[in-house]
Amino acid sequence: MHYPLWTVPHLGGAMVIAAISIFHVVIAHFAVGAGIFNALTEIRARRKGDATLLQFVRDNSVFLIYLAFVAGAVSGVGIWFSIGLVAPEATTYLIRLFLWVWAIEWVFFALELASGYVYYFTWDRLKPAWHTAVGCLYAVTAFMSLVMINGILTFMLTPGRWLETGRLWDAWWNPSFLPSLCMRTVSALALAGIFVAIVASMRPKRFERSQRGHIIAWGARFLLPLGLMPFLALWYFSTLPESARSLVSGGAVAMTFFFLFGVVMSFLIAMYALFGMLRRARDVNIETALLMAAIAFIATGSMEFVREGLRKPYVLHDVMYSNGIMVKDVPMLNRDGVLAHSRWVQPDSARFPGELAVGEAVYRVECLRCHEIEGYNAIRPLIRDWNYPLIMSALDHLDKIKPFMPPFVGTQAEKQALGKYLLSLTGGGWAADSLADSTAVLPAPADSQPTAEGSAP
Amino acid sequence: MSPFPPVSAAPVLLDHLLGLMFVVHVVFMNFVLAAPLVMVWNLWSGNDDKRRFAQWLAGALPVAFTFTITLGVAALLFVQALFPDRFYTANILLGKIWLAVIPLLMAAFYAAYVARSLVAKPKGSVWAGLACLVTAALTSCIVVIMVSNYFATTMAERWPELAVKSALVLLNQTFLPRTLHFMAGAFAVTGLWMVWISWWKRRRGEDAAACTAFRRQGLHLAAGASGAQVIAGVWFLIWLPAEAWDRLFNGSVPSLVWISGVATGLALLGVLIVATVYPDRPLWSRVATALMAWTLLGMAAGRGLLRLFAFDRAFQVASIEYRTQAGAMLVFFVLLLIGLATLAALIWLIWRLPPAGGDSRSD
Repeated sequence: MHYPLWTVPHLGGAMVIAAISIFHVVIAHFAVGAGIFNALTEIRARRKGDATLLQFVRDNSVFLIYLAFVAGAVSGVGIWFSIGLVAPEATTYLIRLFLWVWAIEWVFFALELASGYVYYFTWDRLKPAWHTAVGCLYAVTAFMSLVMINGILTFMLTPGRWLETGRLWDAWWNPSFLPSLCMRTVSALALAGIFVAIVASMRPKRFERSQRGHIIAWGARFLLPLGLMPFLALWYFSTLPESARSLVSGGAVAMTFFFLFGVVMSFLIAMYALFGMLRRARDVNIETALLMAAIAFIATGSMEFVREGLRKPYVLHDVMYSNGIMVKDVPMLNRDGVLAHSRWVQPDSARFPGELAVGEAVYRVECLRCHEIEGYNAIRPLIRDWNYPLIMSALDHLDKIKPFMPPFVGTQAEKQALGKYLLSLTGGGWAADSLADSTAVLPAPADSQPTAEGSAP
Repeated sequence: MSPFPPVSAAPVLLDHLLGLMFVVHVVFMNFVLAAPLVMVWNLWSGNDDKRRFAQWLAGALPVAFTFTITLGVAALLFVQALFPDRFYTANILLGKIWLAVIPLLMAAFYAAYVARSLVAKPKGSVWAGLACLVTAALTSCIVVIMVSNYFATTMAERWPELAVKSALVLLNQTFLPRTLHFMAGAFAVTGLWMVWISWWKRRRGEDAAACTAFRRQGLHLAAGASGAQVIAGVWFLIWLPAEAWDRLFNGSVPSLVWISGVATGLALLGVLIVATVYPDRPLWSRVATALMAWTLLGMAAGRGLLRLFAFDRAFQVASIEYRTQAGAMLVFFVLLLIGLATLAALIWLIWRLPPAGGDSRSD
């Protein structure tokens, strides 16, 4: 509505965000977990005179630099870039509302980086107590960075009292803040624990078998909190709005599946850590460690997928639909029409005849952010062989038929035009059917796709 | 009327924070941009001393990369809060080109690490130099994209054309002088980085003659680049329309900062020439650094003035609607102060460290 559209043909902008986000979340959580792991391990190793653990954490603090400070930091910027392209309205809203929260997060992040470098560069050069203190500083600032961002992410799904008060801290400290933070912390610790298993198992020349077992058993303790995941998930679940709860509990099968997968896999890893790695102090080979990492990666990705999906049909719950239309603007748009208030998208009469041009423009405004014509989550296969009455019926009750879809917004004329444009995409499967006379509404066949970039205002 | 919440603090304050963050970002970013090329020049000189200079630069490069990104994020945060319409629209019109910054940045960063790991190896000069060239090429691409994005924000009247052809931003008549001015500035700032790295190395017990030679190289680079920057700057100013000149000389505080920045820039050139004659006198390094800092502030102020001018001839930042979130703002400033104090403590810890003694990760 307010900005031009940016989409990626066949893939969709949402998939670009998802790919960058999952990559970033895994690395960012690892950075938090590894910071806590390093600090606690150094404290323990120095207190108990444990040379093996000290050597291990000394060797591997470099991974923080290589992974978190490069791929983590850059992919974090990547999320900003991608959400600004795909969902600029929501991004503007969040930036305006949470400017100072982001600024506070930035202070913690900058300190995290500075302390991380000092920690790595000063091994065996700073006094042990000072070095440990720097490690603790890294752990605290990394965790606080997560705390600040967690409030913004959870706000998008559970704005809570902010809807009435409009106060920033009500937005940030919202109903799902704490359970989400606990889940993320558990996940961060687990990623650190799995990483320990991978690195230790990869270095048979550096550490003897018994030393590797010792390191892996210590790292396994960081996996144990994953056992809490089912309970944390229930807690999180209880804070969600009714509409989101219904999606997880069967309303959207994919969502239910991903949610269960994430929770069950987390629990199983915790059990393996407890009974296999810790109680029996078994050495873990590299294949097992990598398998655990892959499962953890997929489980983390699944939970992020669920978190994103639960917000639908909104991008900001009760504030903005996933297509960027503000909830409060719906009555006005139903009266005036969406195209009357669209700064960038207007009918392209050069490419589409008559009403189809209007319908195609409405499609770009309301549908294209989630549904490309072809490709991932594409519209054409979704409505294949539909006829006009069916399409119009679906548009009339869109949010009732599929609760994760926003309602159609706009005038009756725009709805009819959209219906005719959608019919032009169906492939004419109903042409031989008794209901096919409705295809007569089509002025001409049109199978070209709308432009990926916005057209001129 | 905007459908979005108002800005959460006085826009003038955010604009000043933006300028400040941009300046600090530029200090690191300029080093990231020019240091790899200086490293190549030293690595492929066939001179062992100069190869050591490349190692010294390599030590600072990844850290500079990190803080370039982090400080750039802070500047972008305030840009997004103040000018979302311009910023996001420009991003979307550039589209994939804008998003390409991310893989380019990641590849450049890792290439810098590769260069750092190879530069100390006896036979690693060729590959380290190639890694430096990759870093420099990728970061230069990022600069072009960033400058393009800036131009896209300023040419709203041509957005319909830009939606069809992104390359139009390159046809802006100030694109070339602006980019050249920017690149010359990168070498000037890197020259001063070299000066301070040489003093640091001297403190760490490195050979005095080598440190002096490195410092002299830095001073020559800074002086030459500052001269080139003056020429590119004049070229850039000539292309500006008369109304833009009026903006730059309108007597406001940013205008005065810009004018004084130009004056200190010229003074800097003179100081750098003197400093090349007396490279072992720290006073000249300090004076040059102070002048450079003010010059950068002045350039940032001028950039801000021109941006607002390009947005709208009558645009004033103060006209942006706002509602102050006093509590959150206070928390931010208190934490910022604590953060700066903590950062100072970390620097103090590093400053007091004994010499490295052969640890490969040192310095």
